[in-house]
Amino acid sequence: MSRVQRGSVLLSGVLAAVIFAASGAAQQRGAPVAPPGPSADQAMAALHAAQEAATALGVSLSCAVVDSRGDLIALARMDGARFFTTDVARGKARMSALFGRPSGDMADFGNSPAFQSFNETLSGPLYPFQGALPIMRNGELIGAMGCSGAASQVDEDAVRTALSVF
Amino acid sequence: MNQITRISRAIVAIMLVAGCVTASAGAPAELTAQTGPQRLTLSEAQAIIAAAQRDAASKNLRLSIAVVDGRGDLIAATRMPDARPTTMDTAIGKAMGAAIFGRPSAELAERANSSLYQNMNEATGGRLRFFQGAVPIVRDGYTVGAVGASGASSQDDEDNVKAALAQWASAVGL
Repeated sequence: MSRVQRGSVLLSGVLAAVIFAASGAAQQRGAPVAPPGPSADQAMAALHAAQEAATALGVSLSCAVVDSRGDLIALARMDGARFFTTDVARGKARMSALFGRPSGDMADFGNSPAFQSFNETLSGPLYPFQGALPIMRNGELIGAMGCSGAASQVDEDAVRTALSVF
Repeated sequence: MNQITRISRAIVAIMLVAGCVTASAGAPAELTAQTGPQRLTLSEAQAIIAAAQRDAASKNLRLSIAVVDGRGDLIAATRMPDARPTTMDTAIGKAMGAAIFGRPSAELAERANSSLYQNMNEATGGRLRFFQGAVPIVRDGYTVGAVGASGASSQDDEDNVKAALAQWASAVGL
């Protein structure tokens, strides 16, 4: 191949690479590789099931589904549930997801001096009270669901009923 | 009956009536989630979010969408598949601002650094987000809540919630 021919091939190669890269740059930002969690559809199904359980128990609850990092996937506050129950449901769910245990089992941690800084550094209040349960998939912790608005045992019962969708 | 007896009986009657009124006023009020006309229900909030999800999916957007009530308190929120996790709190924060101030959150963005807005944000525990992407939900002239989205450009977010509201409003005949 002559030098001119080699130069042309090289130039074509560079141009092709630039065009390829340019079209790549115009694409949408990539989807995040997020921590494992229930799908949005599963979360909605669980919330719906919890709502039915709550209605059957004669109570109005807020319920929240979070992923394994404790980030919210979906939340629903039933008509009549007090406004702060959303925070408590989220906080119990996050508590359960972070430790992979029922939030009601975390009371001792709640009383420990470590809890305060833990609570402050993680965005959103944590509530180490009964009413949230972890969500497992094939033996792996993928998140949690918490409810608030009634007696804590009632909250937990609504969650337990709802988790049968998983 | 003499004058004095008539007056004393009148006084006793008035006191009895006053006592009854006070007694009934003292009865504990039922705890209600919200007062005011036509408060937004969970069912309505979820319908608005579903409309937003359909609109977002049609444009290949991955959003979180949140609906708050007239006080700015959260009613419902959903993070669409593959939406960035932090978009949830942003959507909620935009919606809260829109509901509290009764304005599209885009209008709040200009004054975000004012002391009024900073104080209000402190009062909510720092949850407000003064960015475009949320609009109030108005019914019968009342702000009954707001809907906010996050996950795309702020204009896309705002277009999404406006489309969702328009679709919901026409579906329910508003």
